[in-house]
Amino acid sequence: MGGLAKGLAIAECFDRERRRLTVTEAATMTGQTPAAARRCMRTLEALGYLSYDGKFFRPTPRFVRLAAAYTETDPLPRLAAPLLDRLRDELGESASIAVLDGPDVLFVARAEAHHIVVTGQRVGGRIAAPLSAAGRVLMGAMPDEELRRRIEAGVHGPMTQKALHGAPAIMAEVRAAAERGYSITDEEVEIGLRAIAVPVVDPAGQPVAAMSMSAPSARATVEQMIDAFLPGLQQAAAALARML
Amino acid sequence: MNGRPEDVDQRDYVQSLERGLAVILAFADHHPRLTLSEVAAAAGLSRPTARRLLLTLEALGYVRADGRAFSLTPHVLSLGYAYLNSLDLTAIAQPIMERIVAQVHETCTLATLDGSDIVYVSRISTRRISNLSLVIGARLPAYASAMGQAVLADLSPGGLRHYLEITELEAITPHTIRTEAALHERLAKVRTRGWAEVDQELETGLRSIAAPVRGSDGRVFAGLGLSSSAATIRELRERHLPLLLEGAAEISSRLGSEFSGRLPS
Repeated sequence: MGGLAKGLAIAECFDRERRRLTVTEAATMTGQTPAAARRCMRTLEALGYLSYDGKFFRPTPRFVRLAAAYTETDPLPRLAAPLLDRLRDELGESASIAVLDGPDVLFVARAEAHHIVVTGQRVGGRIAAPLSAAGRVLMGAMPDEELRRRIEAGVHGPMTQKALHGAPAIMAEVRAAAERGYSITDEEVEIGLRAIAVPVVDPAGQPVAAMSMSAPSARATVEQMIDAFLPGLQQAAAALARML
Repeated sequence: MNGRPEDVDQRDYVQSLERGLAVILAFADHHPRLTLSEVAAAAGLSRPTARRLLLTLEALGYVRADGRAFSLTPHVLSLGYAYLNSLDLTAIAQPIMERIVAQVHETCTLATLDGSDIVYVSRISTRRISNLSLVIGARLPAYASAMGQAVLADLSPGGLRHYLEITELEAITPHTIRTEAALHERLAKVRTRGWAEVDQELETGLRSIAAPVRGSDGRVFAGLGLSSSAATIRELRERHLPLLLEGAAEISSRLGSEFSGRLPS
């Protein structure tokens, strides 16, 4: 692995659970020697991306530049933003766009609802694709074999007691979702949270993104999500597909 | 792109990492697709070097190639969002900012210093929350903004010297501070008061106040600002400053700070 790959692997290590890392921790997480990890971290520090207090390295605001380089240039979040804003305004819950990124769905745009209890993933957040409503609609057109491989690789046990168990059950839901045009997770990712997703398809019918809304279970039953959110979501997803 | 700081040992420096990050940043400023030559020019690299880095970034999933054009993939967010998420600043600040906006009906912004600019981390306008993904990364010259002055006022003397070395004080409006002496004087005032105000220094007709947000080390690392194109500076100060200071202090304390924004004298 070259220096660039090593450095970026370390930059990806920082998240909600790991707000600061020592050289040893970063080396273990990325499978590098401590000497190599140290060089990368010192370089990121010299470039202003990490701060160092003698023991721990922490990310600095400079990382925002990298995220902005993507969000300023990819048409997907830019075109989706007004549609998500309108969904949020009309329906009162958060609306998001997600894409497949390796074994996960990655959230790339979001209109945040005005509530004290915030639900769902913020921009840059990720969930194992087979476990999320967005992931299930994104995998809808995949051949059986690839789908099974992805589900088996991506799922290490259900996230809540209400989650679908095992690859066959998830495969069946992916196929059923493709048939009905949407997928719902009912407290499968987190107890107290429901989400509904529809695919944004390209002219060949391939899903290129998922548009989803999430709400606390207390504010929306499964039936309400279908009745209240689904028509607006489908309309917005179709509008986005036309723009892409 | 920054040059390599001189105090870093050559053996500790991974040049391909610096250059790879420069390639990602070459796409900023709204260039959705770049050719190899354009990347090389924007990142200040030779074509063979830029090509090698682009291929590495493509193999790692950060860049996609489409014929002769290259573009960034959403995977780049794994780098940028890692910071926002690990700091949890947005999650902590947004409910507090929403509360402020609901009461004062002016736009509230949280911004941190990056080089000679301040960068928006979060912004809530009176018309609903703007989509964060399109707002993060917006930049303003720090010396001309209230949020920037709130952060600059807490820099160490060395930090401020460095800031002035890399910054050109330009007259953006007739009211902009344009000498170092005037800026030093202003920052001293900000330190004494514990907050900053800017009257049409950034944009004619735009007035802002800002309060410092402190990290767990007690240093100011962000400014929480309110801007208005309707209110006078005096109205902003008299009506909204206490709320803003309170909000900034609350964000600071939730960040685990032992310090809080100083109250106005």
